[in-house]
Formats: sequence, structure tokens, C-alpha cells
Amino acid sequence: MKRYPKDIFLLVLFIIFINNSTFSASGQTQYTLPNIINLSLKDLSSENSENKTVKQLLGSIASNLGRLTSIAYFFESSPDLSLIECPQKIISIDQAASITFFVKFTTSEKPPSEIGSWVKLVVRYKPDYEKLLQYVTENVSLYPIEYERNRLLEEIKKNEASFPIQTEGFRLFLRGKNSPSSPNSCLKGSKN
Amino acid sequence: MKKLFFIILFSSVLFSFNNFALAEDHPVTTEYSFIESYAPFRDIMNKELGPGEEFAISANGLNAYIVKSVTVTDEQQLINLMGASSEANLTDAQKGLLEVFRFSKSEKISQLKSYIQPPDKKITLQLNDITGYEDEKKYPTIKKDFWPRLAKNSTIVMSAAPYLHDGKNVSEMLPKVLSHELGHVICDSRAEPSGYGSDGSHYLNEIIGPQAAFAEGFADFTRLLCFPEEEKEYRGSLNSFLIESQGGKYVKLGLKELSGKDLLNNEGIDALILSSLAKEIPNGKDAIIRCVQRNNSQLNPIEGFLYYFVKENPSLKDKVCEILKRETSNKLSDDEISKIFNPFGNNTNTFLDLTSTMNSKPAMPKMYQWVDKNGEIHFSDEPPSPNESGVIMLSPSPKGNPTIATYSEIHVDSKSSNPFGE
Repeated sequence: MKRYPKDIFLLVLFIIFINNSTFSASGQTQYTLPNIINLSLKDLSSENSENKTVKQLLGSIASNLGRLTSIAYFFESSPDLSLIECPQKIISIDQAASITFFVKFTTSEKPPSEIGSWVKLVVRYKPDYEKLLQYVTENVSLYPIEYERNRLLEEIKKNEASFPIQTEGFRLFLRGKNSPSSPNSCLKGSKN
Repeated sequence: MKKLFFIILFSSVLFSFNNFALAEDHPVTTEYSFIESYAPFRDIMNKELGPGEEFAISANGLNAYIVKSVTVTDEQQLINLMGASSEANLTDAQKGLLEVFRFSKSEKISQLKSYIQPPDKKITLQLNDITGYEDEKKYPTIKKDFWPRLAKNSTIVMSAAPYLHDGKNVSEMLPKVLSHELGHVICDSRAEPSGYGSDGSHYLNEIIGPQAAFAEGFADFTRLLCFPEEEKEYRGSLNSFLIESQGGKYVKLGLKELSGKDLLNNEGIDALILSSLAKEIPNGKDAIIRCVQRNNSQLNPIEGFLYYFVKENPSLKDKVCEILKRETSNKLSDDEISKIFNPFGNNTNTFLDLTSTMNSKPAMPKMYQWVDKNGEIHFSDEPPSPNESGVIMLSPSPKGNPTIATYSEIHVDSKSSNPFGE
């Protein structure tokens, strides 16, 4: 692995950045839907924990817009991990509310997956379509172009009528040999 | 009997050969890419990169990602890489990526790929999984950073960024995006600097730079070739048009406010011209794509393509004129159309010279749009009085830089950047 002195490294990255900007042919722009749900998983196991075969995770599901209903969830993991304890059933989450829960996995002798050791939370839910329509309709400053705004509103109505249940997920990569680190643990106070 | 046997044998060999020719596919490497780390630029720069990892800098330049890529060999491997034991357990966004992978193996895409030049050009289809990074409060540039596009080295960047939280619609829409991006690979045209305006983005009904409009219009054309049912939606969205001001605000204009030449600077109109040509001319699709590739200087506007197309197919000139007039709502005058097919007069310039000439000429008489103190909108060829606010000059400057988009010089007063209140 080649490493560069700091200044040269910055220069190389800057050139890559400029190069990418110049050569990119960006796809067509369109309005996008707001974030409806926030999911997270955090590894609570420490290096010093006595039982190294058990991984305890803290998960959360939060509603970002309206009341989320018909919630169903499940976990998947890389072959080296097995679920031993999962949270109670959740039916709905009110607007701006969130629930947190603990999940336990045991590690086994099986090797991790091709891309490391991970746990994935998958949530099926019904968005609050009324609130979603209201959000897009009322936030004219966010969605100023009438045609695009209407297209988005039609999209929401179509989803509600045809496929009201959505599926979203969050994957946590557990630290270890050949495993990438988790999104949250790498986020060190972004200033945006 | 022996004769019949040889005829059957010959036919079989011919049939097999044709099938082989169809089955012979352009090499495309598919990669599954996922984000391993995201942090401020200064923190991430100290990390060592492992196999398959690379840095990606966020659009604002303040943060960076470490993205890991793995080559995809088959559907089941992709499903497993996305963290699911079966397709049913994928998220909506991941199902969209799976559909892209499937569509990349389809006959429609194989047909498009057969036009890629040179035939051994290496293409990478990058399926970016941004699961866990959708929250724009935590990752403010995530959509922009992973918005589908054609990046350098013929890498088609795909992700569900435009369709997050959009349920099953992701799977329906993402293959359409792939057919658009593949159009960029085939055409290889380049937008002029600032061709997309100050925000760097483009809507289907936006008036953009001439070269940008043709590059995007061609990509939209390849999308229409794969999904012809979308033409109705295209036509429906082209009743009004958007013009971006320098501040990135958009102004809506109707057909009556725009000239025929302005309409040619819209990707949707350019796509419909190409689509109509493909449908109404025998072997139209093939003739269009081959003509674009033979004459592609990477700098052509649609006028450049039409000039070469008629030059190669002189007997089709009347048909091309008819389509051109129709798709620009009869806004192009006979003189303007004549100049497209005979741009040099008696001169023997190249079309590259013409591109500069066309861009430097104003497309229409100088017009002004402004909002008076009572909030009323005015259109006039006379400038408003100095006391008026919200002045939007609609015409380009006569001294326009030939490589700058026609509408990059619109000026919008900060007091009223959007008189339509949209």
C-alpha cells in the first residue's frame, strides 16, 4: 500500500476531484422524497468484554415524518454470526418518536462473508402517506418547480395505491480482521 | 434428398452463426460498491486503503468516503453481497440495484452495447449500495455524491439516490437510468463548460447549453429506444421549460416565450427529434447512431448532427425538415432550417467552426422579463426602468463565449429571483 506525504496526498485527491467533476455526465435531475425513517445499529461489545463470543448491538428505529405503521422487521448477518436474542414486536411509531432495542448475536467458527462480518436490520413499514403528501405540497421552497413537485406527488399517490409497504435497511459492519468499520463509528463530527 | 440435407445444414450453420453474433457481448465489468467509512477529509486521509478500496470525496470537498468494490459474477452473489439470503429480504433500494444488474444482461442492453466503439472498450457498471447512509442530515451530500452518472474511464455509476424512500418504484426506474447512461457511453459527446448552468444539474425540460442538450438528448433517446412507452411522458413534460439563472434559481417559460433555436437547446426536444427520426426513417436507429459515431467531435450540438445526417442521407432531407419543424412546434423558420443544412454558405469551414459561430450569435432578439412593484410580470423588447426590480434578461450577450451555454448569461435580480413564485 503506497502512502503519500500529506501535501502530495491532498494534491492528488484534489486532482482526482477535479478530474471526476470534469468527466462526469450527471444523470437527469429530479426531486427526491424526504427521509421517512431513520435506522441504526451500534456495536456495544468492547475489546475487554468477558464473553467474546457474544456480540450485543443497540438498534433504533425512528420516524422522521408522520406515523409509521404495519412495522415488521428482521435481521440478517454474515455466516460467522447467529442471532440469539431480538426485540419485541413493534407495530407502529409515532411522528418524531423512536424506539431502541438490544440484539444479541453469537460468533461461530464459520468464516465471515466475502466483505466481512456484518449484521443487517431490515424494516418493512407503511409510511404516513398523508403526511408525505402534505410535506411535499407545503414545502414549496424545497420543491419550487411545479411540474417536478406534481410528479413527486403523483409518485407518492401511486406508491400508496399500488405498493404501500416499503422496505429499508441498515447494515453494521463489525470491526475485526478483514471487516470494515461501521458508518456511525467513523463519523467524527462532520461539520456540514 | 442430399441437396435438402445440405440446405438444412447450411441454414443451421448460418442460424448458429447469427445467434453467436448476437450473443457476442460487449465486455462490461459489474462491481458492487459499498461505503466503508465516511469522515471529515482530514481524518480519512490518514487511513490505509486495502484491496478494492478507494477514496471518494464528497461534493462539498469537506468529507470523504472509503468505498470498497467487489466484482459481481452472478445474481445470487450480488444478493449475498447486499446482505441478504434471498431477493425477498433485500431493501427496495437494493432490489433496484438487482434490477439494474438483470437489465444489464438483457437483450435491449445487448443491442445498445453493440454500438459501443471501439468494440473492446472497457466499461464498468458500478452498483453503489448506500444502505445506512440515506439520512441527509448526517450525510448531506450523499445523493449528489452517488447520483447516477457516467464517470471517467467509462464507469457507469449507479445508485438508488434519485429514488430513496420511493418503494417499488426504484426497481422500475433504475433500469431506465442505466439505458440513459449507456447512451452517454455510445455517443461520447461532451457538454461545454457551464453547459448545465451553475448548479451543474439538468432537468428534462431545462434549456441548457447546445452541446449539453445534445449529449443528454442522445442519452434520453437511448432510454426511449429501450422504453418507448415513456415518450408520452416526455411530451407531457415539454409544455413548459425551465431556465436557470446564475444563482441557480429556475424560471418557467412557456413555448411562446422561446424561439425554435432555444428549443433545440433542450434535451427532451433533441431526444424527440432523434426518436422520431428513428421511427419514421427506414433503419433509422442504426443510421442515427452510426452517423453520431462517425462524425462525433464530442462538441456537436443537435444542429451538427442534423447537418451530418442529411449530408450522409441527402434523400431524407425533406423528412428530416418535417420532423425538425414538428418537434420544435413550427418555431424554426425556413431560413433557420436552411442554415442548419447549409451552415457554411460558400465557405469551406468545418463544423467545429460552425459550433463556435452558432454559440456566439444571439438566438433571438434581446428581450427582458421583470416584475414591477405591484408584482406583475412583464415581457418586453424594451428594458425596464432602472427602478424596476427582478429584471431577467432573456437574450444571451452578443459577445458570448463560444464554449459557454447560451443561457449562462441570464441575470436575475436577487430581490425577486423567481417571479412566478414557484
